[in-house]
Parts: sequence; structure tokens; C-alpha cells
Amino acid sequence: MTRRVAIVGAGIVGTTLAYHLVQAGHRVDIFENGPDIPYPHAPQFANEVLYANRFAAPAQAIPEPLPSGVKGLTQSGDYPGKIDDERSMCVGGQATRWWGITPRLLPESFRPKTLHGYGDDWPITYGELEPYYCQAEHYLGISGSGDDNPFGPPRSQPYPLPPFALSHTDMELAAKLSACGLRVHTTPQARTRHAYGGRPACQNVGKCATCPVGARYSPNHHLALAMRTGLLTLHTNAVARRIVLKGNRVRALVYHPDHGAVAKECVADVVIVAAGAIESARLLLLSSASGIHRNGLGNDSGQVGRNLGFHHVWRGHMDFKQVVMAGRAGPPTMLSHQFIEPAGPRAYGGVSVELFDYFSDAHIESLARRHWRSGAQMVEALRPALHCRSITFNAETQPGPGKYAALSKKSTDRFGDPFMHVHYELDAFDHETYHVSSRLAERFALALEADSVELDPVSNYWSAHHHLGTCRMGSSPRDSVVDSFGAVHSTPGVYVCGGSTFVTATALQPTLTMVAMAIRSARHVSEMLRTS
Amino acid sequence: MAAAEAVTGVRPLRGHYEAYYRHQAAHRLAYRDLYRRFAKVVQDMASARGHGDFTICDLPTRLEIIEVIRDDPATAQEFEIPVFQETLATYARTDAWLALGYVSWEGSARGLEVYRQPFAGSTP
Ligand SMILES: Cc1cc2nc3c(=O)[nH]c(=O)nc-3n(C[C@H](O)[C@H](O)[C@H](O)COP(=O)(O)OP(=O)(O)OC[C@H]3O[C@@H](n4cnc5c(N)ncnc54)[C@H](O)[C@@H]3O)c2cc1C
Repeated sequence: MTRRVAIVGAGIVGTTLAYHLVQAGHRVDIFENGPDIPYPHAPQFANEVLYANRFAAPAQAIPEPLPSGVKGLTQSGDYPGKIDDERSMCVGGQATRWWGITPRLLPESFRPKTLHGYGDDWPITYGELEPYYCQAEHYLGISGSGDDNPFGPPRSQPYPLPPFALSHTDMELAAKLSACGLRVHTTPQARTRHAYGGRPACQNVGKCATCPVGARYSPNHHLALAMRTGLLTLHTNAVARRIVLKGNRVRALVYHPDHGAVAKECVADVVIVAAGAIESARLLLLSSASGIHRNGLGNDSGQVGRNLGFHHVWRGHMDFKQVVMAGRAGPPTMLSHQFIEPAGPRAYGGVSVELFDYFSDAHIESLARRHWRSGAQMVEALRPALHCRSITFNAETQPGPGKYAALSKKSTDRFGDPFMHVHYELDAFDHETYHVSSRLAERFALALEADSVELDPVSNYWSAHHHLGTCRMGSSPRDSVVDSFGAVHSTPGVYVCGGSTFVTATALQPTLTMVAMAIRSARHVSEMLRTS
Repeated sequence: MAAAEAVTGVRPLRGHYEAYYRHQAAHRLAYRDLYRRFAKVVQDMASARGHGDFTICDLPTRLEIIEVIRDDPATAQEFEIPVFQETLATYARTDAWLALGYVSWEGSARGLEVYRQPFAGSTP
């Protein structure tokens, strides 16, 4: 008998689940708050690269803006950005606009408490996840090298595609760094070195955030393949509002089609929430029922919304005497994983150092922020940028009492349901990580004989749109919301998948791990539906 | 386009400026009218100087006309940002990089080989 699965959110996690479940013969309905967008993203690319500038926003926004009352997150603490603006709500979610940097976590990443004395250990090991990492790399079409990164984890299979080579300048810089004991390597990326699985080969058009041809992976790719099976129904502009239980077991998902006032029910054997860390927690909290669910699903111990973790990115740039002509290779090239897992007990996070062949955007913008009389005048002002190259630190964080998401007491959506409120503030661990990053920046600059290096102040940190935690996985409902498959404790049929289930944020980009875990969860759900 | 050539200093202009203006005109009513008014202003000024058509004026004449428009507070108010600064913003992302010595700009298909070679262009 075909079973019915409802998935909330058509981001990379929701679409990965949907694709694998329909391949296994299940009927899937996927509910997405936002609109669909044309794929490949050539119109969006033209908008962003050609038509948008500091004077004129593109006339047709892609994705089109959401109706008012759909987004309304409030925030407190010291996070300098507007978190609501970091959430892309459309088919494909954030991965319509990501860079596709896709490292695996290390075996050590799953055991921070045991190895370093902070955070908590994950209820899953690298060894258990490794086969799914292989599948995820094939699924996304990752170009990378298993050989050039001495700090990389063990792997049972090579990457499906060869890596993108370092640029000429990268090679020169790498030699200098290596002479000073600093190791750099290529960047694994969900971008096609060769044509792959129906996607064309990359032609180095840009920085990858928007790819006009689909060389950089976008969830739209597998969504289209899944739709062809006839087993998947995509509901766009449809907000999921409640998960309904019968006893402790899931019965249905309540949603509003076309952002309308009328609610509908999708009766389902399984509901999987893949709505990103903030909205996933919100849906569990809004779906309160009687008994152990009185404070929301999976929230008997008040864990939903806790343990929020961002990555902390500090951007900087180095200035050189010589011209370095950064930006000839637009996409990510060179990075260092040497400092992601310093051994032993410590009270600061690991960092991944990105030395991409970029000039610093901030540098360019500050040069270009004036009104100009002529092209020639502008070129003269831009000339110093030829001597400049970016250096970026992507830092590990640990959960703590100053980092959480909860239902807002002040702000409600168009149905009267509370939006989320996020409180986020740096703690002593984060400040120490920043000091470590600053010292590393000096060390890299010295090795590269840069004239100067400048790092953003500690307060100017950025999450890189990596919102993690809030529904963390664990073995006990006392300190977690879901198990390692994403099954909400004591609530059969309800799952949460994605970065919201991460126990810690690590120093590495999270999305490959989310996809590997989604493939694992899809297999688990499929087996469970077959045998139940 | 003749005005854009003059203000950016790029000759001949490639199609991305035209694509930009067409996009704005297609999606924003105000821009369509504004571009029409701008065309009329430069045309009238060219005629007043004894030239039939702004687009066939030599570069110094076009520049002179543009300077007058940009220095007069009334016309500058109307055209400085949507015509001149937006044109220069497009230039900053495209032809400025050629002027700086790059072989192409971000947003064009640059291939996977050139960036691996030593930089061959000149940095004027
Ligand atoms: C510019 C940028 C660069 C990035 N670069 C990288 C990178 O290099 N490497 C990396 O690992 N990660 C990167 N990321 C992060 C990465 O894109 C995300 O980690 C990933 O896409 C998250 O996927 P998701 O499916 O969990 O969530 P999302 O993409 O947030 O998708 C969740 C979806 O759920 C929908 N939704 C929410 N609530 C509801 C509801 N109630 N009803 C219906 N639908 C709902 C939302 O509209 C959304 O579309 C980047 C992100 C950005 C924006």
C-alpha cells in the first residue's frame, strides 16, 4: 500500500527527502511557504548581476516578495544582521542562493564534549554517516579532492567529480604558506567540474551564489526529477500551520493554500518538518496538544528552540605591494582546514580559513560608494583593489543560554500565531575564538608578506545563513527533541530534519551533512512505512 | 547609448548597457518616460549647437552637452542618478574590470583555464 508523507519546506533538505521517498515508491506532498522560481536561475542571475545596483533594485524581484505577514521574526542580543532577511522562502529555499561549499565533518566533530570539554556529543558517529556522505556527494555532484587536504576525514569513496584547480595566484600564495607550515587545499563544492547528471559543466561565471545554468547544485534539479514520477505534489505559497496528532501519533498536517485564509488538512502517515532551524522549532511549538505535547511537540523538557547555533564568519582582507588580481576565479578556490579541530580540551572554537581568489567586497564597495563623473575616475579609485585579497574565518560556536529561539510574545502573523523571537549574543568562547582568528590572520599575512591585514571587529560577525540547532538530536527526551533519524521523541510519525537537529555548529559548512542525514532519514522512514 | 559611451569612455559599447536600459524601461514606467525626456533634452541641445542628432555628434560635443546637463541643478536633479550614476554602476561591474586589466568580468563565462595561467593582461 502506498503511504503518504507530508514534508514542510522545499529547501535542499525537504527536496532531498522528497526525492528519495518517491524513488522508494511513496506518495509525497511537499508544502512550501514561498513561490516557485524559474530554473535554471538565468533570470535571477541577470537581475542580480546586471540589473541590480546601489541605485536601482531590479524591477522584478526573484523570488517575488512574500505577502506581508508571512515573515516577521523579532530578535534581540548582539547579532548585527537582520535574521529575517537571511531566510529565503521559495522553492529551493536558501540553496537557490548558496555557494555550495560542501566539506564533510570530521570524526572528531561529533564528539566535542568528550574531546574538548564543551557542547555535547552527537548521538551518531562519523562512521555511521560515512556511507551517506558518499551518497550525498553523488547526489549533489560534488567536485573535490580526497588527497590534497591532510586534515580531511577518512573516505570510502572518491568524490564523483575532480576538484576545481587553484588559481595561478593561489599556487604562488600556497607555496609561501607551506614554507611557513600553513597548509591550504582545494574546496569541495557542489559545482560541476564536468557535465554531470543532466547539469552542464561550470564555466566560471561568478561567485556561485546564483548560478545561471545549474552547474552549482540547486534543489530545483531533483525536485523536477521527483515530479516526473507522478508521486510528488508540490504546494507552493502554502504555509503549514499545525501538525495534528491522534493520541501520540501523527494524523495530519494543517496548511493554508495560496496564502489564503482557508485551512486544509493533508492526512499523512508521516509528517517531516524541514523548514530550517527557526521555522521548524516554531511549527513544533505551535502544534501543542494535550499531555506531553502541551508545550509543543517534542518539548516536554522545554528543549525546542534551545541550543541555537550560528556559524560566526569574520571577514577581512590583506593588502599586498604587488598586484594580485583577485577575482579571476570567481568561485571558491583555496581554503585551509588546518585549524578546524585543535586537539585537546579548549575554550574556543575551531576555524576554517577561506583564502578564496576574491577581492574584498567591502573594500570595493567603500571605493565605489561615491558619485562618479566618469569611468576613468572610477577606474583610478578601484585600482588599489588589485593589491587586495580577502581572508575569511568561518568559526565554530557552542550552544549556550544566550542563544535561543522562542515564540514571540509581541509579534504575530496574519493568523494571529506568534512569530519566532531569536535571542543571540556572543559569549566568552566566541570572543576567544575571535582572538584565535585574529592571531591566525596575522600569521597568514606574515607568511604571505602582505603589507597589512584587516579583520572585521568581533561584533561584526555573520551567520553565513547557517542557522542550526533548536531541535537537537540526542538519545533522551530530557536533553533533546529528536533521535538521530529526526524522529521526534514519543511522537510516532513526526520527524524534523535539517540543521535544526545539529548538536553543535562545528567550523565547517553544514549543508552536505544535512543532505547526508536527510538521505539516511528518508531510508529510515521508508523502511518504517514498509514494515509498520 | 551615445551618452553612455561618452560618460564611461567605452567605445563601442557592448550590449549589456542596452539590456540594462531596456530592462528598466520594460519594467518601470517612470524610466521609460525619463529616458524619452533625456533623449529629447540631449537632442534639443545638439540641435541648438547646429548638430542634427546627438548620437552622431563627436565625442567632445557629446561630453560638453552632458557636462551642461550634469552641472545644471534642474537637469542634474532629474538625470544624474537614473541616467549617469546607473550607467556608471553598470560600468563598475563590467567594463571597469577590463580597464583594470582583467580579460572579462564576473558574470561572464570565463572558463576554467585562464585563471590558472599567469596574469597575461597589462595593468595600466
Ligand atoms: C548566500 C548563501 C551562501 C551559502 N553558502 C553555503 C555553503 O557554501 N555551504 C553550505 O553548507 N551552506 C551554505 N549556505 C547555507 C545553505 O544554503 C543552507 O544550510 C541550506 O540551504 C538549508 O536548507 P534547508 O532545506 O534546511 O532550509 P531552507 O533552505 O531554509 O528551506 C526551508 C524551507 O521551508 C519553508 N518553510 C518554512 N516554514 C514553513 C511553513 N510553516 N510552511 C511551509 N514552508 C515553510 C521556507 O520557505 C524554506 O523554503 C548558504 C546560504 C546562503 C543564503
